[in-house]
Amino acid sequence: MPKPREQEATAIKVEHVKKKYLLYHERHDSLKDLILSGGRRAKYEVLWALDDVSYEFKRGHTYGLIGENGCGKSTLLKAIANILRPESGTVTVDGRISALLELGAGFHPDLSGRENIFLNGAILRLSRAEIEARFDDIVAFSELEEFIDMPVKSYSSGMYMRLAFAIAVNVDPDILLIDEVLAVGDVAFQRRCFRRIKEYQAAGKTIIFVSHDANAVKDLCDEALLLDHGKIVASGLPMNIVSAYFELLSKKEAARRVKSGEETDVAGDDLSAATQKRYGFGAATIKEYAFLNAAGEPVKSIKSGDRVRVRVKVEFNDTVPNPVVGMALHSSTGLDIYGVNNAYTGQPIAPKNSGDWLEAEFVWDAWLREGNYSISLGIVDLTDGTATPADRWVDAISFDVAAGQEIIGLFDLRADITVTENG
Amino acid sequence: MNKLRELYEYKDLIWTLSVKELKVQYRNSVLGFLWSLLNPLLMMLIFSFVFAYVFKFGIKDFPVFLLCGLLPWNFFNTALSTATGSIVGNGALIKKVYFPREILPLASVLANLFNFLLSLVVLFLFLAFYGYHFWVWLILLPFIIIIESLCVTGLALLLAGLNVYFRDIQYIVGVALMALFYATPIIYNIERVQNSYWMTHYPWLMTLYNLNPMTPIVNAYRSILYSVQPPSLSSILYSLGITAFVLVLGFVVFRRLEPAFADEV
Repeated sequence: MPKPREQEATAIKVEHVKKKYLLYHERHDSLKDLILSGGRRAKYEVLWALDDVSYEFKRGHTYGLIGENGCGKSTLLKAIANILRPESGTVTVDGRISALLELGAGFHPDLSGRENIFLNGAILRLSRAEIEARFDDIVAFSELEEFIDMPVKSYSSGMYMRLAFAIAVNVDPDILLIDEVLAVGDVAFQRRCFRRIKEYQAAGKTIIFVSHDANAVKDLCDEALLLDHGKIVASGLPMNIVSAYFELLSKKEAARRVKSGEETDVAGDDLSAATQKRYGFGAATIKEYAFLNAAGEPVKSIKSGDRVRVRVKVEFNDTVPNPVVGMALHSSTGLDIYGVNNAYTGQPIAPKNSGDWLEAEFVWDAWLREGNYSISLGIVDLTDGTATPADRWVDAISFDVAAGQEIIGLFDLRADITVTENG
Repeated sequence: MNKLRELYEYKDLIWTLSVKELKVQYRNSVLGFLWSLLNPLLMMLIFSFVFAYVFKFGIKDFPVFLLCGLLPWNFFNTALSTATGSIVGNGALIKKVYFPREILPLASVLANLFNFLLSLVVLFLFLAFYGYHFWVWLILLPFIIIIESLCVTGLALLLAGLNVYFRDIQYIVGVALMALFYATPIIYNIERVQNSYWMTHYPWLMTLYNLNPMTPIVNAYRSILYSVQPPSLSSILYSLGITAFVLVLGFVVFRRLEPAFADEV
């Protein structure tokens, strides 16, 4: 569990870092161009990939960087890894850093798996002795014992990734930077990757990772940072930052729609990204909601296995051709445990116009482990396969589940145990 | 100084990359690393045929005379050719991983130095076969090899760095190396140049000729192995000076250019 921040050492200190990219309209890549241009500077636009970013990353924590493509999150990672030099500002790193920005960096197709382990290991800053000590683990982890002396060009892409990953997870740095590496590979591969990250966390390593996977960020990180246009616009608890990210996306989507004239009545402007937990385009409004027990009484805490009812009342302010009403259940760490709506269950709702209303009730048995949970509610318009949120209320309901039978995990799947034994 | 300490910390990577370069060079060829010995031998056969038998240069034991210059030249030539493209060629790596960028040209130089040292063994066999007492001043040879290696390192850093910004450099280097081959006393004796009409009438041409850092280096190799006498102190000091200048220039220019490599490759 994270300790109070004051007592912790800083692993990485980023101070006023600025990094710009020059987008050339024409550029001098050869001497000929330079001479013909008479030494004139090429025309370019300046794009600030990092615009005065400051942050202190504490030792032993896991940070998630989220944001749209081009928001600067990978650039920040590269600045920390010393791959890119900022125009101004400083990055101070305390500890051995290992950046997994690409699996199998420097692999040479003509070399054998064995030779590539040494090559890639050296590139990831392992000494020869360290690689030798870990060699057997790496080979065992990759499950490529029979192929280790074959050139990697004869490997399938799956084998290639397995080898690359096996080396990557056997690098034992103080600080680990991961850029979207988790996005590759199959489910089993990702699960192993997550397990390894959890081991690193248990060992007190500092981890920073860039991901588009909101669930991974919520599940793995103690803290998340949202970047937009080269600035850190929000930081804090992953679940809050992830919802801020989704709000930012829907705001941008709204702005885009206004620009292209698709939609005129946008209620997005008054939403301040990091604090608002409710957003949408206003074609419908969640008027009332309630969390009830089986008897229909409002409750704040339940026992595991209790039947509960989530009731939502929606009023329509505009035409919604295909209304979809849904709920989502989240753990206290922000993990999406369960989500359902009438589109998934195949119960279409008739088109609605201004002044119409609907009431929906979700009845389910809460076979959950003890703890605190929250429920988000939403009404969206699902036209042409695109879901446009009309009113989405994040963490509208919060409730506690009291301890039931002891279990491991989030759900009580109600296993029947049959024991056959001798004697 | 910090840079040097960092490079030392990365010695395993320098070593691994040099070994990789050697392994990859001859992977999939039947004769493998024997090519680093065969290649200069075949060149020697061709040059000996042309210059000793067709043009009758009249140099005593032309094959050994030639090898004494050709082998150090090959090291200079191949190291610079491969090092020039080393940063651009490893662009994917530069964008994804941090390590001191100097390592890439350094590894090219080191791999070619290894090939050169191996080929010297062949040269020693030839010298012994022709009855040369090449071991008399052999103690000085490592010193000359170090000077040449440092000089090559400086030029390698300079060219590899500049090539990131101007890709023309690699083509210019190809042509310049060919010109430099003839401007270095490899296939001919330096006296032939010194006594030629042009050089005696236009001394600045001789100065220009002497600016070639490989001239005193090749002369030193030849003096130790072929003439069996110590190289002149003045020429050693001169090449030490050039090497120091080139090395510092290479490191400084490389450091200036290096921060933007990841943006430019």
